[in-house]
Amino acid sequence: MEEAEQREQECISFVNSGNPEAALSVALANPFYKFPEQEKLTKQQKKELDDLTKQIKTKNFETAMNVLMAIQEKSIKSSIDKLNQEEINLLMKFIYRGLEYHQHSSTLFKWHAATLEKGGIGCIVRAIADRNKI
Amino acid sequence: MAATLKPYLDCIRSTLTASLCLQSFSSQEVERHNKPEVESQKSKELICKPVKICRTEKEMCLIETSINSIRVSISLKKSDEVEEILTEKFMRFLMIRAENFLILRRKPIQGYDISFLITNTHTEEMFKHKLVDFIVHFLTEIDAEISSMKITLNQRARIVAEELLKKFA
Repeated sequence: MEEAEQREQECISFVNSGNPEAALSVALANPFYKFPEQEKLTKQQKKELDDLTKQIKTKNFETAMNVLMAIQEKSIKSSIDKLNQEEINLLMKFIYRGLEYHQHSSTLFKWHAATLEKGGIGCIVRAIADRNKI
Repeated sequence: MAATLKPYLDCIRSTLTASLCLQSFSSQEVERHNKPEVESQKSKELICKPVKICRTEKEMCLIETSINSIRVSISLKKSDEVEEILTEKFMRFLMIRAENFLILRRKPIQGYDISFLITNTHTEEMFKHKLVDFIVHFLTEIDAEISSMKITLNQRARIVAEELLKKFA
């Protein structure tokens, strides 16, 4: 959780200093999927861990969304060009999660189109088929 | 209107193209059965993450993918009560005739207006890009269809009201 909060702070400072592209790579670095498997957990502990996982994921997602919204329309393409394959896959996952809520849909459609152009159909397949959810 | 619709449709088109990658797969639960896994939901490992694409609060599209089948559910915009009724009636009209549409599901899944179920036999018999085109075309046409029905309905109501009020004049 601390890591996620730290990431959020970092992103906010990058966005505020007028460098949202740098914030994008911070938001896409070291994605959190789940805690390492632990044996002998009571039901209570398991539930707490699940809740925490959900919280961290939501936090990371919100951070990413804020960054995506901060980047201007004309610089979407150039910022995607700087990403590597892994980051593009992750970005696609965030975009799909963002599309589940209708608030930012029009901006996210632009992001989707730009990411598709760079990453091809493959990155959609990877976003859908990957078991590691964000 | 068309300008905002296009990115939504493009997004759906690319997602469908990516997820329409089906193969025959026998059921792991029942011997000698071959069921659409997305419907039976029995084996978790065969089902991909469902993708929901929202344009507005009501207008959205849910794409659920599995190894041998894919389910596409659509919710239309329904901006007022008249459109709501028209959508419901029209979708029922279509779904009663689901046999003729091949990929149409007889019942929409909860929360959506209409559902399509595409299985591996469909992709073997038909062209994949044509299937995608069909769904996207359906989405473009359906809005126009419903609004034109609404206009006709209003016209008719106006004429009926006029005729009725003539008697009192």
